[in-house]
Amino acid sequence: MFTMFFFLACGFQTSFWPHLIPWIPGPQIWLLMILFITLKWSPLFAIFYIYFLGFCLTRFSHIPLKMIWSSLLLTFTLLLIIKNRVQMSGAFSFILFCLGGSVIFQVGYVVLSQLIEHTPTTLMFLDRLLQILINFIFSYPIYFVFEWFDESLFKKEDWSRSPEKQEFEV
Amino acid sequence: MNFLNFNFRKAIILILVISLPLISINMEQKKVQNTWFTEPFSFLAEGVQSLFASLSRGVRTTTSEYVNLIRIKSQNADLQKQNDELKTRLNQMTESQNELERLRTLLDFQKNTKMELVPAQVVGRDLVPDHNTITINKGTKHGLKIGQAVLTVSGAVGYIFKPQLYTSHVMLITDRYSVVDALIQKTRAHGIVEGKSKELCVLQYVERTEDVKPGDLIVTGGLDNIFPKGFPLGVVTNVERKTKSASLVIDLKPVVDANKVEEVFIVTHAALEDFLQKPTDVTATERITK
Repeated sequence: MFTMFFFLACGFQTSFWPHLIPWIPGPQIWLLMILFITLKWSPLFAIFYIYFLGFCLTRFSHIPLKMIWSSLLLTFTLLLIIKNRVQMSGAFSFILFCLGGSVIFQVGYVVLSQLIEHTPTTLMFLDRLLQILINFIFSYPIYFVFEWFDESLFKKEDWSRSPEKQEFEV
Repeated sequence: MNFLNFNFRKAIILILVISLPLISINMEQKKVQNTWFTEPFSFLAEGVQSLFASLSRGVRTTTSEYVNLIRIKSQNADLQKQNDELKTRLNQMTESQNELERLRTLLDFQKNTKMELVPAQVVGRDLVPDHNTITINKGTKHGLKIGQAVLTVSGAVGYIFKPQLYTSHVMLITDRYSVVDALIQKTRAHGIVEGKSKELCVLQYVERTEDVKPGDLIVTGGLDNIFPKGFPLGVVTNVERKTKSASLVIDLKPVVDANKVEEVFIVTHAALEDFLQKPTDVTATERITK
């Protein structure tokens, strides 16, 4: 179901949003979803699931698999490190993590593109900044959708096994 | 003094009572009605009548206006609704008209070319802003293959790089992975067009000695076996002559704004079409250079 939702989010961004509001980039709900998984799910399961979602992403873009996997791994690792050092929870923490995660993803993508790709991407500073801002704005309402989705799909025991809860229990 | 014991007062009243109707009967028979003593009464009556008449007219008008107001209010709501509907229909008509004109142009283009073309609609854009690709609603089921050219009436858009069963991904000429053989229309010098950013391409490997100026039209070279020869690609916006480089770096603005494209053609068979033999559509070029 989560994968289905992921596909819907990608379809929304590629085929729905550009036809309605072509002058503003659509929110990267797929990235917010990956950030949510990074923050909420157990790290081992999360990283493999994120790799799977990264593969799914290549169906909607010309992005090479090496680029998306390496960018997502970088984002996942840095976000996990930050998360383990900052004791915050709830919607407010999620939007802050989304802001940080979006910045890490965009910067990481540019850096990794310079290192890995033969034809590296350009900086496109304003485009990236706008994208980060849009992700940040949309992260707040989307958090509640993800939260509801996550809680209604997973059993409470599974939910309580997420790293955040584990720390709380300890 | 009263011999007959007669009550004169009563008698006078009685006479008056009887005579007044008689007098009035007598007056009815006369032609002239307005006598001096009736005039004030008539005047008064007229005044009162006029007053009440105007009053009643006023009341009637106010009432009818009020009733009308209620009716007008509901009519206004109906008309507003009709107006909105008509506006929507007008917008739809305008949209249909535009679509009709666009499709007519496409049809004319399809009819007047030797190439075998498959029309398609753009259904999606790339998920990541770093890549410039579009998704079209035709795939291998419709005979599409990898490396087929995608174009519009105005110019080249890109080529198919990932055909699927019912959809295909098209790499736009502005994508940084895109490479297209190109010609400078004026001098016939060959070069390679590569994607640079969302709205720009760069023409490389053109000799320094070539005479290229902003506004020159760049067309497809045809050596890549993707695009037919001579189809418009872009217009030169900037020419950079680096001192240590043997070739020029030429910035191009694509003739087609791929972000606004809705319908495209896929060239399934170019049939050796050479657009350099045909008069070029200069309107797009002029539009860009302006």
